[in-house]
Amino acid sequence: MRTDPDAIVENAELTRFAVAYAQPVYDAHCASCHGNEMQGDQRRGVPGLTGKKWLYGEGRTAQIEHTILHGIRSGDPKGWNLADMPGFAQQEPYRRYRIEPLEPAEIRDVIEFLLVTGGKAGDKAAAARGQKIFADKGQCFDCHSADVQGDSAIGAPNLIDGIWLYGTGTREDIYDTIARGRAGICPPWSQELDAATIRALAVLVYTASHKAAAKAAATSRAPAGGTEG
Amino acid sequence: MNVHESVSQKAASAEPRTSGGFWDLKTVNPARSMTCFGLAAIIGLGIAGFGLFTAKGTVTHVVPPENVALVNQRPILRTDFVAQTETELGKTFSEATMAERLKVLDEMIREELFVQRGLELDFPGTDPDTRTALVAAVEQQVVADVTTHQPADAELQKYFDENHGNYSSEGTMDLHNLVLPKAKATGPDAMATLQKAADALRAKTPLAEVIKTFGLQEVVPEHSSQEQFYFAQRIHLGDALYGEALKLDDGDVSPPLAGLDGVHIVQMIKNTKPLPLTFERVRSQVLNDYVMSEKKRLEDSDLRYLRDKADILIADDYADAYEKGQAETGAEPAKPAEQAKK
Repeated sequence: MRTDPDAIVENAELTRFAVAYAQPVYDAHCASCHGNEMQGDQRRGVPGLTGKKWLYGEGRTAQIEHTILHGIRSGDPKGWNLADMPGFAQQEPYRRYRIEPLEPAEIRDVIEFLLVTGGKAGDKAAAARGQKIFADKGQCFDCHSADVQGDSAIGAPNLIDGIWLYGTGTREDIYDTIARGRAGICPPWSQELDAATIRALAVLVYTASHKAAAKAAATSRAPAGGTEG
Repeated sequence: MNVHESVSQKAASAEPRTSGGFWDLKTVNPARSMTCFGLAAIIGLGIAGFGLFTAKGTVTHVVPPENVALVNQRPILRTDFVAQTETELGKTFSEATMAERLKVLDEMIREELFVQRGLELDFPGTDPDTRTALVAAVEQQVVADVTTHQPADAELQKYFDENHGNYSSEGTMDLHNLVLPKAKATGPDAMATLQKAADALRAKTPLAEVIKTFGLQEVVPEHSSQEQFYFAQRIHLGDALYGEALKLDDGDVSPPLAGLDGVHIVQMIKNTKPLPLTFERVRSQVLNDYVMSEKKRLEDSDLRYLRDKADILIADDYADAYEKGQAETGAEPAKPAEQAKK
């Protein structure tokens, strides 16, 4: 616990120990949402944990540990809880502050804008209108940034990288998100698991997304004392 | 002296004398014994009492590995220290120098000391900002309790089935809202004129021609298209006209309806009615709603418990009304102040 969390993964022996220690905990507490292989579940808006892109932070061990400890929109005051996705087809789209609803045609235009900007086929005239809505009435740029690439400081996803948290990026999926909003939850584990276990889980998740660290851990020789597991 | 006498004298000299004075330590004195016993008991009780009422709990002089410091035995977590360092310095923890880390640590210790002092001064009880933050924190804690135990799919499906009406697509209406302005819509002829206009629209007369022939105006919401979600159309049309519009299918025309600004008719271009959505499509929404409803349930139950446990006195001039209000919500009534005094 005294080791800098980001430095643990530079030590193959520590990493190997943490991964072995955390795997049963992951299976018991995390796999039901994130999947046995950490693949996530797009039907439920549960992110995969094996990719290089991170919704919150840059995927360093310290950041992963913070998320596991305090959760996302979890009720823990230290958790990630800066923004939700408004539901623009609702009379009051956002509970945090006032945002105007969008009209059906405006939502369709924003969808075209996202598809065209992401390199997919779409209606370019509608996309041009959607771009204005993105940058003005919808205030989408405020979270997703003007270049539509999101902001990991608040958990706003990149909308043009082809990675979709909810669904697979069809018009219907995007419509559902814009029309009804999203506010996924990750529980805080600080009251359920001890600090060392959470640190080990963070290392496990880190290695799942950083194959080189995982490989180094797997190929390292076991210590003479045999602290396997 | 015979043998019998000698034994009796020895026995007599071996027995302690019990009639000595209080301060004669060579003799047994029952009063002195009882006094000493009493004093010892009082001193023992005094030591125990001092220990009991001045105890500071279990004190440790070793900082546990998950903490970076203990301030009056209250821990500063390493994870908080790492997060605070990164936030404050705008770089990763490993990039921070020891001097920078120590500066952050010192600030965190300072904060902890001030927080502890604030608690001693009862700021949570008096400072409005602290009170607001505390209420929010307690409310949020309930969510934490709910979210840590993720509901199973079966639970969510049950919640979805019980609240199926909440999960449908958003209805939209694309329509023409025509009005004979109030200035022109005087007398009984106005309704007849609008009726004729409605009939003309039903007979597929072009909209522009109907508008021109009957002196109508089309009401277009400012900066908006005619296609709107139901809730927006309700705002634009008003309840009465919206109620009529709801009944229309594509191409239908409503009967004339008098409004504040004149007499209206609505021609429905497309009425897309809300359709029930499947559980799979709204699963994440169901989860959020489920968490919120559980939060509300737990919050209510916490509040009931706190009310039951609390001694709440209400001033006479509000007691009856308050009690009535509480009775309606099923809460334990509070005591009026006078009754409590008795």
